[in-house]
Amino acid sequence: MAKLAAHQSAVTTKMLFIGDSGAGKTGALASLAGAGYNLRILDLDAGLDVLANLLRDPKSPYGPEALSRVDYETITDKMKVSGKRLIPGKATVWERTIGMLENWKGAEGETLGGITSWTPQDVLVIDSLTLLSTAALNFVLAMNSRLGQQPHQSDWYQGQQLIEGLLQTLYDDNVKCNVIIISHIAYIGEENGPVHGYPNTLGKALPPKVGRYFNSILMARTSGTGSNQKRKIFANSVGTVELKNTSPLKVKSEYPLETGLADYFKDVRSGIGAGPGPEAGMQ
Amino acid sequence: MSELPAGTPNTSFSQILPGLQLGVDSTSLGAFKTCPRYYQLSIVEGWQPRDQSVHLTFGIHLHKARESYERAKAEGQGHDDALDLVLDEALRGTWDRALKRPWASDHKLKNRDTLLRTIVWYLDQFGQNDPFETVILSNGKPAVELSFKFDSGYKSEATGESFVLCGHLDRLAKYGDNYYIPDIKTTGSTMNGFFFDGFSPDNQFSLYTFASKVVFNFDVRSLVVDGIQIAVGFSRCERGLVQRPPAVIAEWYQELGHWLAQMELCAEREHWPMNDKACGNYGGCRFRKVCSKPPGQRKAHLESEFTKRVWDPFVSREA
Repeated sequence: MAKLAAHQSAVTTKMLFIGDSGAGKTGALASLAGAGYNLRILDLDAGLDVLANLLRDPKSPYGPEALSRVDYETITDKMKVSGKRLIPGKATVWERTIGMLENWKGAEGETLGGITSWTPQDVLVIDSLTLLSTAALNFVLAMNSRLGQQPHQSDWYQGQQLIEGLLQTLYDDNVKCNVIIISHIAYIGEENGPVHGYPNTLGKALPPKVGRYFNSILMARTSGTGSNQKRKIFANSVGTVELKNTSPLKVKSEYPLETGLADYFKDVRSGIGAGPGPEAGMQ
Repeated sequence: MSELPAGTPNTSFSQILPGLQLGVDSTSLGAFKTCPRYYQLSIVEGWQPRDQSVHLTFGIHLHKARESYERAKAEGQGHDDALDLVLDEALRGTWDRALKRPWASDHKLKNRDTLLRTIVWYLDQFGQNDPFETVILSNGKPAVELSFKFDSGYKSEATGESFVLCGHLDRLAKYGDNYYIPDIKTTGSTMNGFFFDGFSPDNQFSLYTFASKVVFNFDVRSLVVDGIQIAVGFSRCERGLVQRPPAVIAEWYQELGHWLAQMELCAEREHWPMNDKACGNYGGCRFRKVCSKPPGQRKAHLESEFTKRVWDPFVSREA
């Protein structure tokens, strides 16, 4: 029997970070680098410009060291024209993504090992679940020599199985690092029932199940327009989107986007003396 | 094949404790896990139905077709030429020279016509432009029908002899930078995602994954099932991944020790008990009628309805 005091949720956050496009999900990662965490980002969206600009800026509030704490790998497939459509020339994203999780190779050939060797000081980021799901489906189609064609029913099922299998792996106790999976929101209505906001992945059966593989679900959202625009991170359910966190008594209902993820990591670890103890802090 | 004529010495069994199998393949282990009595009759004693199963014959020809196709491709032949060669081989293989007639199968789905059609349709889809490229070994030959044999790490407490794991991998293939083991499986049913779910957990695929790492030093990520639905008017091919994470393989290996100990216990007692909850699996056990009879009548039934052969996993397919 294990002691609850030693439960890994005390030191490890497995987070689904959702929000509509443009809500600031990727830029919000900057605060974690500023707080001393090592970020390892699998960039399937090819959209790290905002994070790079935030951390490179000489006036960056995240400190000069933050940029050096971020490793990333952009993984995309080259597209080709088939008929009147653009399709991947070869489906490699899924394979390369899994390969990086098994043995992360840096830009200069250095290896950071597999995710099971990483520590609570490290944060694996997959940006995004939406494109990871497309990659899984493309892999299934390519495997069946049908890339670019309409998926069969069984292709959807197999793609869902790949995604769910990966989520199970990342949630496994053997993965001691933190995990953040960024996702867009898909609004799915049940027959004659209410519409709910779920992480955007394959089909209708998988999205409602995704949340079970995370101990935290946070949402980035923009409110207002023009100079009144405010971006926040929410930790409690908002509208039709169900959110969750690991420390309801310590976690605030909302955080400013600029510092929110680092604040949340700090709050869920506060008072347990088991945090990763990042050496740096935001200036 | 590991199947040999009756009377051939079975080298996979212990000389010290005759009922103890030391050379264990997925067929033997799977038989024991299903039902120790089934294992006794089919593996230890070697009984099999007088007519070889059409499923087995069909499967042998189909696997042989893929193997020959890969060998032809590795020698530089194009798809059409390789397919011609394979079909010629299949036509000859399904011709009974003694009786001067084709292989006689009364099975409506698995017969000579459906075999030839399946070979063509399967290789057209998964032979030409197959994203899973067959690995070419250092000797220039394709990695097909790879026999393996290695010490399991477990020993018989009764005799001190080592248990050896053995078998054959259909093919070793590469997709991107990663290695996979493709395997052909046929079905008469419509294939959906649940068809592929049926291979997890699965003794055969866990052993293959384990062997690929231990013997061939390939870090195989998953197995690939080339599923083929065979119907009267068509053959439909569908591929699915069957994943074996390292933790699952570790658990399989740990439990292997339990099963080998059980095999040893049965051999020592010369008694392989019946698992009467497995009799109806997969359309019914072939020995169901035997086990339904009183013990004193079983031998006579076996001798009238079955014939004997030797299942020796130590004999490689090349041999």
